[in-house]
Amino acid sequence: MNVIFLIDSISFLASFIAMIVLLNNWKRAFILHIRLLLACVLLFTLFYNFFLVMQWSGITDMLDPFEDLTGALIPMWWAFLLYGFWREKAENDVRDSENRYRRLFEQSNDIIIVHKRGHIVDVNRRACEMLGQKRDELIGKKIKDIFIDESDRLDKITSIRESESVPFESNIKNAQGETIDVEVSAGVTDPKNGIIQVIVRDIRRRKKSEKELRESERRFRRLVDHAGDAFFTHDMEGHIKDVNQQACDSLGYSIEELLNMKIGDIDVSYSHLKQPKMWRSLVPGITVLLEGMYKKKNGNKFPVEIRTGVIAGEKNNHILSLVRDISERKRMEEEKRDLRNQLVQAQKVEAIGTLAGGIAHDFNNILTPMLVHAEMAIEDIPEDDPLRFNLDEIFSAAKRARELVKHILKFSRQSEVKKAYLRLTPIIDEVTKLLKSTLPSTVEIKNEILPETGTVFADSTQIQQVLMNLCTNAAYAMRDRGGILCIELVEIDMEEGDLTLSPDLKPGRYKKISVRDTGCGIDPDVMEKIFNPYFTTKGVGEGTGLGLSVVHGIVKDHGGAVAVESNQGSGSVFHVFLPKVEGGLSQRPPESDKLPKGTERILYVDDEKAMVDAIVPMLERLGYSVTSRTSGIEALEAFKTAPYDYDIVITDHTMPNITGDEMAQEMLAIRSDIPIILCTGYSEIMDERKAKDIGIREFALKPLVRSEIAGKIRDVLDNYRIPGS
Amino acid sequence: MVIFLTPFEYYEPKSRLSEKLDMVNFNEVTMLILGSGVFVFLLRNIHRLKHLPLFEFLIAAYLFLLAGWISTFLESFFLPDLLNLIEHCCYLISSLFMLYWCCRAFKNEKGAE
Repeated sequence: MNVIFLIDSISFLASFIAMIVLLNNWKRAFILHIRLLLACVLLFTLFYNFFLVMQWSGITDMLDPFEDLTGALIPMWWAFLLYGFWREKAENDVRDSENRYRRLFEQSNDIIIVHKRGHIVDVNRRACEMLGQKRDELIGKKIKDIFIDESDRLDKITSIRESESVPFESNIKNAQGETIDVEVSAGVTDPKNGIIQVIVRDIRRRKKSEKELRESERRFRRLVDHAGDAFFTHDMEGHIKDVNQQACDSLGYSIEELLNMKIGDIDVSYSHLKQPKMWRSLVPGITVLLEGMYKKKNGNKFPVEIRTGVIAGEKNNHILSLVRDISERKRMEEEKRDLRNQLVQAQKVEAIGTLAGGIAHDFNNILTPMLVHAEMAIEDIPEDDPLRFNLDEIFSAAKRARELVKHILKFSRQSEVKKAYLRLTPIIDEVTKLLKSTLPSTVEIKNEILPETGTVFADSTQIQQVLMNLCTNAAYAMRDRGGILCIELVEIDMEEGDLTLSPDLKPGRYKKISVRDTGCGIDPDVMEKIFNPYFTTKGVGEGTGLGLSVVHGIVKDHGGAVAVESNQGSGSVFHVFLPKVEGGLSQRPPESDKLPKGTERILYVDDEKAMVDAIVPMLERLGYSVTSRTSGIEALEAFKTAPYDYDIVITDHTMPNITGDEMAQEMLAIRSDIPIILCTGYSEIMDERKAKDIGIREFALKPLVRSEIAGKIRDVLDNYRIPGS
Repeated sequence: MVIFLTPFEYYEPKSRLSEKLDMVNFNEVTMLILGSGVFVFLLRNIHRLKHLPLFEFLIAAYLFLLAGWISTFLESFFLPDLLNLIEHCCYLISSLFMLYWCCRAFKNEKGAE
């Protein structure tokens, strides 16, 4: 037994077993189509191996021809087997592909219609549902019949060529009779047989979405166009891509012009280095707030607040800027700052007023003894005495000082406006007197006053203040070189054509006070601001900037106007126009040279010993019997002890321990008919009205002059005399 | 059993080649030609045939069969004993691969069912 025989025997055995295995699984599905071919391969292999065994075992050589035949047929059966496998796989592939297509065809949400030369050959389930017809009813129909649209476009779906696509929109009527918007697309699927597939897509939802989107976009555009802020959309290089109407309105450009511009063309504060860098650093969702300056088409610039953010795009990011004109806000902020400054200044002025009042009070206490003693000394010495002149001068100087203090008090006190019919000449004279005593001698003061007819209805104190302010400014303008300060008063008729200087005035007759100086004049650049509160060209500590604004306010309040003319270097003139009225002149009681005297008993109270020393002898000279006290408490004690020992009480107001009004109230509680005169140099908390409210008969302002106090005492005693006393 | 090669077979004179060709059996040439054609078909359609279950074993069975046919053709020219032995060994391996394929393929198919 050789090796070949052994090998062939094993091969035969293996083939045999394989054959048995095949036969055992003969009905298996997966070899159903090729089982015969496989069996032939195995069978011929089996026979071939059998013939080899026969040959190599040496049993017989007679089977060689059969061996050759079966051997030659084996590759053929293998070819059949592999082809069978290949064929089955190909058929399976086709079958799978067709199943997939059929599933797609049936499950598609679009209508799919297959037609041949315009006649429907197949439709999917969706077509039947949408059109409300069965497949059999649809097959054979003309495809054009399912469309409502009868335009030429439909011809395309029947005459389409291979590799062509004809998408268009049309309408069909559905099972419920509704007209449906559809998008139709067609393509040749079998060019040989002219089979064309038409896909009809329901685009109602898309159309609705598009409509809503368009509506939303229109709403958004309307919103953007009507927004109070300007909208700009631009790219990272600053090229403007979109703007709203407000942007056009605020800048004065048309939309077309803006779309051809860059942000740098309108943004004055734009920097080619900074802005693009800043834009690129922006992150979507983050907004940056900036302030800048934009330029209008006409060249005007205005401050803006820019709210910038980035919009992420598919390809490129864009910058959205909301630009708000903040001119008004800036102006308000400036006004607010000015108001705050004005408030601070007003508080300072108020403090100065309070201080001036305090000084005036003390000064009055000093002046009173001077006036009283000088007056008494003048009375005591003969007229030809050499000292008489000196005493007259002292008395005169003290009186000027008293007037000065009165003026200080008038300016510092927020007194009520008391308008009356008055002439301006006495006021100008009074102001002139006061100016002469205060202005430096380098300033010459002149009055040019025409004879005055008629009056003005005004508050004398306020008119005095107007003149003082104007004259003080005029004197300041001449402080270096000196000059002439001239106050003029004329009456003029203002016609319509004459109102160019003072457009606020109405035509009529006016009194015009002109304050003219030969100073440095007013710089034309500041001319518009001179009436603004707290505007001053004076140095720190030299002026508050309130003078001219106060003048303007007072004159306007009187129905008048202020005008100014100035030539820089040669001086200025301020014209004050006050309406002339024909009302009666307010009468002052005539002053009598004869001093009223009396013999009554007076209790005089003042904490200043100098005052007591001056007033007591003066009252005694008038014939009165005077008891004096330098303490309110002591005076009250004396009064309590013998209230009917006094006919009248004259008391200072500001005293330690007890004030004059408190003491008066105590005395009135003891004896309600006691006449009391309250004297004060200056008090913010006490005035004539308050004094009279608590029962005080008369109110006298220091410094006390003999004629005034004598008159008041007499007036009180005579008018309030106790019946039977 | 051990087969000893006879080296002089390689150095036979060229003039005897025609004699060798005469020894080639017609059916062996037919098998080789048909088998090669099937091999070409196999190569060209391998992408589709590889979906067959245990495709590698079936193809291996065929390739060994083809190797056997080549050997039997070549044995007419040189190393007749060795190539004859190789031929039969190839048939054996091919039969075994075929058997293995049948057993495994049906077994797998049973599992799948």
